[in-house]
Amino acid sequence: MAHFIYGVATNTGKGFFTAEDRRAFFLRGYPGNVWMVGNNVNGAMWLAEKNGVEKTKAEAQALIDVEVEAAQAAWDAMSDEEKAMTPRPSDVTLP
Amino acid sequence: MATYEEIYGKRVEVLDADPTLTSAYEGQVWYNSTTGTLKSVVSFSAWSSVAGQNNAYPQSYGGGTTDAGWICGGYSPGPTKQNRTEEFNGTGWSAGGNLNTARVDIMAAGLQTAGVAAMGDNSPDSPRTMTNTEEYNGASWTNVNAAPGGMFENCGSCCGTEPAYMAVGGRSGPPQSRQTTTMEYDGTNWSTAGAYPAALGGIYVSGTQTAAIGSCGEPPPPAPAAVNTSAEYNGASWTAVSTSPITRRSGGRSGTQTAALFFGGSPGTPAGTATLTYDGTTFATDPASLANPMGGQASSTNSPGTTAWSCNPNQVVEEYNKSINTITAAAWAAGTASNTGRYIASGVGSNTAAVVYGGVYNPGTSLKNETEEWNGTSWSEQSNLGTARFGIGQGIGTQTAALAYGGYTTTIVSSVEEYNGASWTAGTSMPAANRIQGGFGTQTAGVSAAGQGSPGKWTNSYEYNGASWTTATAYPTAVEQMAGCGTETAGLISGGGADPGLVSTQNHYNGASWTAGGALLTALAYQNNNGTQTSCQIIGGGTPSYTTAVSTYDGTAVSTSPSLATARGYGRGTTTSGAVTGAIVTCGSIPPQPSSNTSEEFTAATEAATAKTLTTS
Repeated sequence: MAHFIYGVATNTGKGFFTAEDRRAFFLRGYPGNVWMVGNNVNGAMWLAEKNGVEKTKAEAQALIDVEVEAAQAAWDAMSDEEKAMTPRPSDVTLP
Repeated sequence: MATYEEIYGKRVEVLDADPTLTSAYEGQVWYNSTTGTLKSVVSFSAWSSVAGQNNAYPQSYGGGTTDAGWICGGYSPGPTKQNRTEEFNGTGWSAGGNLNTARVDIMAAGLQTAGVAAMGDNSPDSPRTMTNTEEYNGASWTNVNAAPGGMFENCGSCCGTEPAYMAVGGRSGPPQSRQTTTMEYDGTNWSTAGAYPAALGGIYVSGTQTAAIGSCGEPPPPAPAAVNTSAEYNGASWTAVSTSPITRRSGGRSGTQTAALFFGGSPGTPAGTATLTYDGTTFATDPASLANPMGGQASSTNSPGTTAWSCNPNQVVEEYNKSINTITAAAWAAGTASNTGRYIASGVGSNTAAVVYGGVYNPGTSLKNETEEWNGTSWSEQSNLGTARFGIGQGIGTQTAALAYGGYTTTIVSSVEEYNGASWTAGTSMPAANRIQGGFGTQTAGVSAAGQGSPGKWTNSYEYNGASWTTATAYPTAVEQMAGCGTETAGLISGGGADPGLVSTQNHYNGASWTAGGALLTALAYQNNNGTQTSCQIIGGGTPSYTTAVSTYDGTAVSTSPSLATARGYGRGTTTSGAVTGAIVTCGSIPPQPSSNTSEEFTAATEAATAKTLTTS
């Protein structure tokens, strides 16, 4: 059984994920509103309750890649002053 | 009929209200005359999440107890075999000594100060079967006599501790078939002991070299993927005992032959989450299940049957406790968003009274002068900084007495502004223009450390007394974008960007000089520090990629802590509360957003004795 399920959901701020959620299942956010969720009942219910759209790992990775490439292009357009103060967004690979 | 007092030595009490509960109340029964309920304090079992290990290394195994555990070896992406060791202190993980020989699938068991890492898998190199054996003393590994044979793909199939360790079954070869072999190690020499009743890998083995229980496991193909047979070991031979109610393989185990715990494993569910107990005669299903399915995981090996930890390669760790206490694990949750998206801002204060100011918004490079206060519930806009800027020195002051020092407008500046909880007024300018310094202390006893001056990164440090700046002892390294916390006489600076690259060093300040502190788990910058020199929470940051990792520092060593849900660099907010109280971070960069206004809030762990209402059934 896969350890994670992947989905897209919009972070609505406070209450979007609670401390209870964090204790009940693994949760990690990625660019493109992609969320990697522990594959248990609580995790699956959370994604459903957030009107999340489940994705395959490959689909989720593709969404992340698009966002990261856009962020990298935005960083490349920054002034040297700002480039010196923040790292260039790096590629993200889902585990 | 015997009375409750005759059986348990405690009389049933009649009380107006529930008492303040302590461990002394275990087994005490009382009638609450106000609510009309009969109550008691009884032990119950539960798994709770704790901080993940620092590295996600599949097929790393370990042992120890719930307050002194360890894991070693495993693969990192590549796959590259690792020699890393991590130590568990009951709440988080820190770096331990490196194995002499990198490998995976190590037959690992034993106390943290008497651990054994035997055999393992050499894949993708040949031959796969390894016989290397090393002992761990809590700090370093020592090569000892090699095992008489090898084992791999054998999760959970060893127990004991140096100098009385044993391992059973597994694959060996070529031809790499399942084995029945039992091997014993006495601290110096290896010997082969009584064969296990069946050739299996991934047997759950718990106990000692003279009193062990083995259960379940994986037979050779094409047999079913797992079996539920079990056997007890007496130091010489194995004897079949009752079968496990769940058929599975390659899971976690802990305890003794007469008080064993078996949890998680493969394949599927319930194997991956179920917990079984064994009392020396029968197996029983424990009411507590792992929240996250785990198979092929590392676990404690030497805890009693009332505690255990289990960790899978995805940095998910859970801890089992059977006690009268309800343990609520620490966790980060989505918090109330601040009003202004920005990064490279500054912020100070506690988890119930913080202030964030300055920064820059991208895209568009819009400098920010906004000031926002956090009251523990919501953010509110306050009077703006006199000069919009970013890269303001970090970490000096409180919500009602904050300091904005240095930064960048169209150039690096030396100007200072003081905040009194309502408005900003001009302070005495710094002796030199600089930005992205680390800092700590108060508005009348603050320290600015290193940062970027002119030209480039420097070591210049200054103290501020509320009226004037004086030159302080230079920071040991020319570094910028680090974070600090603490006081002028007990300050801490962590990490930062040097030339070349980021650093993992931390330094303590005593009001006069800098001394080296314990190293961070990894080189880090752009983070937020929260707490004191001896109880600091190090939140997010970049390695240089922005990270979800959070760690805690006790003045000596750093260990992992529950992670943020989303990677964040330049998060700002709490600087004075520490991991034992709470925290909020807002703003910063959350890829792909360079200038976020989202927040995460930290709730510290709690543990409290819990009364149960007694009912008839």
